[in-house]
Amino acid sequence: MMDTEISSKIEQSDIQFLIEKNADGIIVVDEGGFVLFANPAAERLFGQPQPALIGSPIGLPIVVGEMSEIAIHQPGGGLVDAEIRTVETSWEGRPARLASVRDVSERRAMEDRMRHAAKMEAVGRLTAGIAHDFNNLLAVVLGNLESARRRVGREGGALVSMLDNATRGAQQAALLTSKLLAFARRKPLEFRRVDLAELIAGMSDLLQRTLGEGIAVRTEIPPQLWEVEVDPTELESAILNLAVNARDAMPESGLLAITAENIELARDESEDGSSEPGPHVRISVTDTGMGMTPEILNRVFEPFFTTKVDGRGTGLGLSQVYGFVKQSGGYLKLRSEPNVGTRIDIYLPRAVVLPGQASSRIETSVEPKSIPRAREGETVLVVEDDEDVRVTTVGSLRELGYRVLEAPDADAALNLLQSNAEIELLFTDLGLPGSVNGKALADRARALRPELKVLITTAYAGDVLVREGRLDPEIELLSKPFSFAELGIRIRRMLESGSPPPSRVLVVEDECLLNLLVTDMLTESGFTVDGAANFKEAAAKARSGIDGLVAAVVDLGLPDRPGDELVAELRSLYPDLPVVLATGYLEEDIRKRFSVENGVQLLTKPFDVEQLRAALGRAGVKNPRTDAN
Amino acid sequence: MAARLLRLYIAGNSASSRRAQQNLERLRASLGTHGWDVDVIDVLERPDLAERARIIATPTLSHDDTARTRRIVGDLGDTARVLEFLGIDQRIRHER
Repeated sequence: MMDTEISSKIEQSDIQFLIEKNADGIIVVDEGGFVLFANPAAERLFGQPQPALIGSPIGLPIVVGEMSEIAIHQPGGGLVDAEIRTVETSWEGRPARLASVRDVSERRAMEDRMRHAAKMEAVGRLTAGIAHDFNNLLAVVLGNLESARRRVGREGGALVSMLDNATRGAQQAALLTSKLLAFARRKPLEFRRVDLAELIAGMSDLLQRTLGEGIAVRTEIPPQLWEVEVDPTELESAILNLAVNARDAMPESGLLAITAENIELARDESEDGSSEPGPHVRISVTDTGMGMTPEILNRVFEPFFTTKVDGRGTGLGLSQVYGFVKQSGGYLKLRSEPNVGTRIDIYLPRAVVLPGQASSRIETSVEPKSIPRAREGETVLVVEDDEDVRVTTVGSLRELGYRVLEAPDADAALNLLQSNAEIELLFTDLGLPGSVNGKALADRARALRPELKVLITTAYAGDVLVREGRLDPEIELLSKPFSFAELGIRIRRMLESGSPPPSRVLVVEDECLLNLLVTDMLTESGFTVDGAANFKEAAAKARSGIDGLVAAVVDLGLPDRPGDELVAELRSLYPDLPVVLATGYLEEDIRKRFSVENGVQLLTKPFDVEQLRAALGRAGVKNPRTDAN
Repeated sequence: MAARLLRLYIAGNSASSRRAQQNLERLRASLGTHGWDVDVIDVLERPDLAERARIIATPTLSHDDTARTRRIVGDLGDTARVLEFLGIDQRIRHER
C-alpha cells in the first residue's frame, strides 16, 4: 500500500487515538513559548492536567541536532529527566513547534549504575595488581626478617627489637594488602555454612567493646534464619567494619541495630544486575548517626575513600564489605540520610541445603609454641619463578630440616618429579611463566604420582583457583605473604595427614579387652579408630562431629541402651553410614528380636581380623590399605 | 540605557545544566559585556523563584523584557538561533 493511500484512509479520530495513546509526551508550543496542546502522556510527565498545562510559559524548545536533554520540574518538586525532539509546524494557522518529550529517568539511572559498576571494576583490577606485587615483595621481606631474627638469637638486644618492629610493620602491610584483595574480590575465601545467629551472638562482646558505652546495641536474629555459605572470618570483619563506621557516625551516643531476616527475592534487585532471584538472607546494620549525602554515598566503596579525619579511617572498611559480599554471590544496598542515620543491607544467597550436612563451627586457630621440624629425609620441591621469594622459601624449609629441590617453572619441576622419587610434597606458586600454571602443574604432578601432596601459594587467587568466586575444595592453599611459622606448620600437617584423608571407624564396645582387640584389628587394617564404651559416650561423640567417619562397629549389648538404638541414632546423624553390629547371638535370632536396618551387617562373636574386614566390606567400606592406590 | 537581564534556570549539577551554562558563557563573550547582565538560578536551591517564574523545565533561558517575556528551553547549543530569538541584531553585534 502506498503512503498516500494510507494517509488518505486514516480518519481524524484515528490520529486522535494515536496521539492520546502515544507513550511519549506530545506538546505544541507557539512562537512565544506558550503551550497550546498536551497529550495524556505529557500530562503525566509534567505532573499537571491539560487545562493547567495549556497556556504555561514553558519557552520555545530549541533542539540542536537530534534531541536535547532537559529536566522537567513537576509541581511539588518532582524531577524527571527527559529527552526532547521538535519539528516546526503550524497550529491553527500560526507557526508553532511540536515537541515530543520522552522520560529517560530510568535509563539515566541505569546508565549511572553501570558506570559506577564499571568504575569499581577498574579500581578493583588496579588494586588487585598492586596488592599482588606487594605480597610477593612482602614475602621476601618477612621471610628474611624472620630468618635474621632467628640468627641474631637471644644476644641481639637492641637489634632484636629493631627486627621485631620491622616484622610488625611488614605484617601490618600484609594486612593492608589482604584488605585490598578483599575489596578486589581476589582474596581466596574459605566458604563454610554459617549459622548467623551463632556468629553474631559470638561477636556481641567484641561489638560492645568496640562501640563503647554511649551506643546501645540491639540484635534481632530470628531463630529459624536460613544458613548462608560464606567465609565466616570475612563476614565477621564486614559486620565489625560496619559497626566501626556506625560508631564514628555517632560520636555522642546512639543506637546500632543488627537485624537479619529470610527474604525471597522474586527478581534480581541488585543495582548492577549481578545477582540472582531466590531465597536470600538479609543482614541489616542500622545506625542513628549523622548520615551521608548522595555525593558521598556514591563514593563510599572506593578504596581509600574516607570522610574520617586524622587518619582514623583507612578508607578500606566498606571496600572490604563490598568485595566480600560480591565475592559471596550477594549484594549490598545502602541508604542514608544526613542527620537521620544510615542503613546497610547485605543480601546473601541462602546456602543450598544438602541432607546430612551440618553447619560447621568457626574454628579458632591454635598457634603451636614451636614450629614442627622435618623428619629425616623428607623432600619438598619448591616451584616459584620469583627468585627472591624462592630463595627465601627454600631457605626457610632447609632451616626446618627439609631436603629441598627447587625449580623456576613447571617444565623444570616436572623433570625433577620424574627423576626424584623421594619428593613427597610439591609447593608451587600459582602464577608460573609459560603455559602451565601452578594448578595445571599440580594436576600433572598428581597424574604422575597420585600420592604426592600439593600445596599451592598465591598472592591472590586468580580465576584458575576460584570457580565462581570459590576456592576449589581439593586445593590446599597458603596465601602470600606467609610467615616462617605458617609455612612450617602447614607443610608438617600436610605431610602427616594420611592420603587419602583418614578413614575413621567408631568402635562402641563395653568390654575393655574386646574394644582394644577390635581397635588393633582396625588400626592394622589402616583405619583410625574412635572408641566409646556405651551408648551415651558414642552418641555424644557422633553429635559433636567425627571428621572422615567411614563406618561404625557397634556391640549389640551395650550397658545403657541397646546397640540397635545406637545404630538408628548414628544413621540419623550420618545417613547411610555403614555399620557392623557385633553380637554374641546367632544371626537369625537377632533379626527376629531386634530391628536391623538395611545396610547393617551382623557379625557374630568371636571374629577374627579377616571376618571383621569382610563384614566392613559387605557394609560398603573400602579398606584404606588395599584400596588406596 | 539600563542593563538588560538574562536569567538562566538550571537544575543542580546535571550534564544539561552544565552545558547550558557553558553555552551561555560563550554567548555572553560574543555579546560583549556591555548592556547585559546574566543571572544563573539553580531551581533546586531556589524553588521559590522558579515557581514565581512558572518554570516547568530546565535549562530555560529567560529574557524578561518590559513588554513580554521570551523563553527558550534547551541547552543553548545553537547560538545563532538563541540570539535571533532574543531579538538581538547580529549585524550590530559584528560592528562592535
